Amino acid sequence: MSKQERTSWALLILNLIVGLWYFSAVFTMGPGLIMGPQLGSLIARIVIVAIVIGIAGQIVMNCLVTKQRDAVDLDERDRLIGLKAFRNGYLALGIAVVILMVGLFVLTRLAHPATGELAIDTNEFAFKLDTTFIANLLLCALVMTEVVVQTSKVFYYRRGY
Amino acid sequence: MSTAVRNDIRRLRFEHNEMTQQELADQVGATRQTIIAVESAKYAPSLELAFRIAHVFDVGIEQVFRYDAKK
Repeated sequence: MSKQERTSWALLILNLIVGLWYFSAVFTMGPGLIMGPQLGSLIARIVIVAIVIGIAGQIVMNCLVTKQRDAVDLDERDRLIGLKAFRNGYLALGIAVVILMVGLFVLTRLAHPATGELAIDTNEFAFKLDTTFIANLLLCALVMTEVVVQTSKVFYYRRGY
Repeated sequence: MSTAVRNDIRRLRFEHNEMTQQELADQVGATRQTIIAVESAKYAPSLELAFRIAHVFDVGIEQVFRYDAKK
């Protein structure tokens, strides 16, 4: 396994852990709490855990490599795979943005005109259609794009492109 | 998935003191995984890399690579 492929695996796992953790917490906080001290605490915890996982992952991957290392870290095939993965990520981001645009258009029609509260509020999911909520949706799209990019890289490396 | 570009790298490595894939990779400035992919016809190298591989074996590029039109 090349260094680039190992990096892709590590970034994919890290993105999935951090993304799932952050968004599962944020989208169940409910309106009002999303901008409160809870969010700051959550972000601080995630950053610390991400750093720890990153360092631990690097150590584990370096221990796993027992064969002779390559003279170059990145060659033409790695660059080509990177470009193809980036293209897939761009496509995914485009699709996500269109879905978000349509979704937000529909949500604005469902939201209360004065408060922005949504009619679909439940105890688990209480959304308020404000800038923080929209920013988190966009952040979610960016994280998913990164997941698509890293998954594509892993796919191309594994398939033997 | 394989490409239409076939090669004799494996034979040429064997004829050159059983050169390893890692040694070839280091000499042409590529990773061992790229050499594995080229050798198994899963990746068609750039013209420059193809020339570099041929240069290592001191042969013409057509003696290393050939195009399989049926593919």
